Amino acid sequence: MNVILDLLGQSGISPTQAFMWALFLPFLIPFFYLLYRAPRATSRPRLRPIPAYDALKKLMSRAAETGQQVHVSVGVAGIAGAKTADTMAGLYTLEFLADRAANSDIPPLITVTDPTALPAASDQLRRAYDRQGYPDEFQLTYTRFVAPPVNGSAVPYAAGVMDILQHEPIAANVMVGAFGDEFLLMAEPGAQRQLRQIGGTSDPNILPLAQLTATEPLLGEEIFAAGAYLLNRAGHYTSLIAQDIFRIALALLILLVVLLRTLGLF
Amino acid sequence: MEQPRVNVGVLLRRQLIPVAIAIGVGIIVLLGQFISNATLDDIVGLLVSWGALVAAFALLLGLANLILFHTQRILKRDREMPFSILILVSALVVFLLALPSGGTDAPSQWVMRYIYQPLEASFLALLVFFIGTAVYRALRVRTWEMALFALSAVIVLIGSAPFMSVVSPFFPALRDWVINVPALAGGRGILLGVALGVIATGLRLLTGIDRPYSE
Repeated sequence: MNVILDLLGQSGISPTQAFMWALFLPFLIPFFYLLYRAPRATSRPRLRPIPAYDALKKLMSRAAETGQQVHVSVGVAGIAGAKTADTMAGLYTLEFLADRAANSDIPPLITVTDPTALPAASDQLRRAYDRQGYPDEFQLTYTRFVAPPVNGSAVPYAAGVMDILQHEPIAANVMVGAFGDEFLLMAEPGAQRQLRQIGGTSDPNILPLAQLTATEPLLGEEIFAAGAYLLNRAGHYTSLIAQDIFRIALALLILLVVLLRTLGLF
Repeated sequence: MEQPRVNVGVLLRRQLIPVAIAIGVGIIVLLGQFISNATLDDIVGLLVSWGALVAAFALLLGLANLILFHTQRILKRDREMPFSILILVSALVVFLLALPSGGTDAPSQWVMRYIYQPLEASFLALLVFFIGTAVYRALRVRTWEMALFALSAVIVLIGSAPFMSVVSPFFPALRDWVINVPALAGGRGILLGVALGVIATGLRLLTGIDRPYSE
């Protein structure tokens, strides 16, 4: 073991980094194998139903019927930090909703707090209008920069969203991305108005708030499945299956270690 | 049948160059996390500082968006027009106060301490009432998940009360068990799934499967 650690140290890899490699590299095997196989696959795998994604598919038609907008938040993080993946999950959800909205007369009401999320969200909407053949319908103000984070706190943004959800004609509220405690500040006014709310975040500390306030919550890793469920993309299916394979392998490994420890063999 | 013409310039500008930059930068920054090397660290530091510059520019875009939206609302004489005027005036005043020192001098600190922080604290205080109303609503939804949820919350709440350790050691012990066994196990399971989701999202971006930065 010491010899291996010495060799790694000489090549500029610390024990922590070696552990990261050990977790990261095996994930690449199912990922790239499935990616290679994807074009030859004759059918897509069946996904377990997630009520929130089923509800999202009906949301824009409901908005079109009522003539009211759907509020979309992609979280309080941006696309240049540790929570980028969460923001990306929000952006995939937005992409789906934007495509549907571009076909109706009701644009979504998108709000952001992180400046880097503004061009990303706005661009998703612009592309949706382009794809659907209505580029002139797109307006920059469909995406609202409510307030920037102040000393890392998104409370000013939450205050702005609270006002929107309390006073503006909104058909539903979709909040998928990285959130802190301000999730409750934003979602509770919507819950009190009995709005249909779809909320999802990856932070286990915030999940109870999503469970309490959202009519259809997305819990933890479910937010990262948006691309496969909503956009039906092969690459997203591939990564979803790779995640499942790796998760099962990790669970078996944990069980094996527990068993060996119990028997005193490890 | 005539093949559609490919405009190489547009293809380069809108697809190939953004994809090459994103994948290249992504791989370098990722390697910086996995390998300790002074030169690599310097390059990663430089790239990250460029990212910070882009983020700073994005803040200007945000400010422009804010001004555009509220100006439109004022011009349309919207019902919310007074609030839009208030927002623009406040933004301008704070901007002018912070301009000379970058927000470190006394007037800027005064605004933060005596206007912003009390407002923020007031908003955060609302969480107490919101948790109360949310839990009350949850209790009315008669599903087994909500029943379990409420039961766990009640156990943790009662077990955390200081007088409970005097009355009976059972509730504090039960609270510790709930936090350290089912809650911790569930939390770790979620974190494991989230970590895999983050890796998968990162790989899709690094391999160019997802290209949110190009047409």
